[in-house]
Amino acid sequence: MASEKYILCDSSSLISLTDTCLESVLRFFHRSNVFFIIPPSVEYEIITKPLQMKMKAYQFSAMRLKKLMEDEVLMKVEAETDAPAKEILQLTNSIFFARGKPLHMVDMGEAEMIALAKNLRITTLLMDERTTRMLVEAPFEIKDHLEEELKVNIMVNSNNLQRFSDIVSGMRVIRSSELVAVAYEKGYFDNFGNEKKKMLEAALYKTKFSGCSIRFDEVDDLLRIER
Amino acid sequence: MLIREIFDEMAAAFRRRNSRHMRKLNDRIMIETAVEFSKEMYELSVLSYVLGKILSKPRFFSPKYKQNMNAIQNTLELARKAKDPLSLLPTLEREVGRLESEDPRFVIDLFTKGRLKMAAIFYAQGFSLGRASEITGVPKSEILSYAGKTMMFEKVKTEVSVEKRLHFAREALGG
Repeated sequence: MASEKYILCDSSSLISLTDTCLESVLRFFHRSNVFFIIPPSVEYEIITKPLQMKMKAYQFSAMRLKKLMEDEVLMKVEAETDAPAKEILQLTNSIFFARGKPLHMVDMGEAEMIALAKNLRITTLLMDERTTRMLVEAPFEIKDHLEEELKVNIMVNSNNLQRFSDIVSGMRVIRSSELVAVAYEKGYFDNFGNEKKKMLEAALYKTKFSGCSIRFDEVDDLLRIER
Repeated sequence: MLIREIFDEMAAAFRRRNSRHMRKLNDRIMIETAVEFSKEMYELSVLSYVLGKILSKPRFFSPKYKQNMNAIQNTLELARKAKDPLSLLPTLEREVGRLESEDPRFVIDLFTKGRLKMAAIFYAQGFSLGRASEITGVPKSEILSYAGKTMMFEKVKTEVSVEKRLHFAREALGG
């Protein structure tokens, strides 16, 4: 029996996986003892809230994700993350400054996710969202991007950035695109026979169009690697 | 940018049926909203987007819509002279709703579309998905779906290569 592996998921990756009808990839990996963890705030966002909404279309993804939770493919973990999440929120929202004012970059849900990863010592985050991923991996790219978009000078509070970098040190972010690519390597698309590579290509493009923050050249790179 | 100045400019652009002017104004309000966020500026960014959209549709200039267009124009004029211009926002939303109801073409109305568009722009500008959703009240799923069909992800380079990220994934998934 393979040892258990844990991946912490944010709402963006689960939304794009259900939007692409690829949430069964999670089930596929779960058979090899991979557990996908979510904080309560993600459960509320992707299941509870959509199920309460008037627009029935939102319930389609929520129902499928609810089933994944019932089958324990997705596992909600409640941990005491309130104080650290608040600290992370305060830090991330006082790293970049425009016209002397702090730019509020992330919300409490995203801060909670990082706090939970730290608390549970989970190093792999499944996240399709772009900004939090870049804050973890390449914060200065965000600075340049903000300057280009907002046409103002962006100042960086180096102390806060360093403190945040210390918190996320060792964390690795993967996206649903990589999840799908590894599933391909492990036979997820084998039913498609000679067309399995074509299916991977289609799945990666669909994932991108559903909001996974991957560039076209990165999709090409993935397809080049996956022979 | 002062709220009254925005209403002056918005009313002028609408009076002249100048969609380009309205779009430029919307761009400026968006940047202002991102840098110094306030609920009021956000509402104005949505309104300027909606008005820009209306002005870009020639069908709204036909006699069929004259009364509705005049009603929007008059409300904008009232707003720019009002003590509290923002108090006229619900009226403007109602008037735009009436204009749309003459010939509905989409399931979602212009204001809903405007809020979604503004949310996607905040996300594209560099704010997180959660923050964009929090500011605008638009569900993350809607923003993601919209953003995925734009070129916004092409603009930002990352420091982690695809090979490296794939390696992370293989390790995490037991590959």
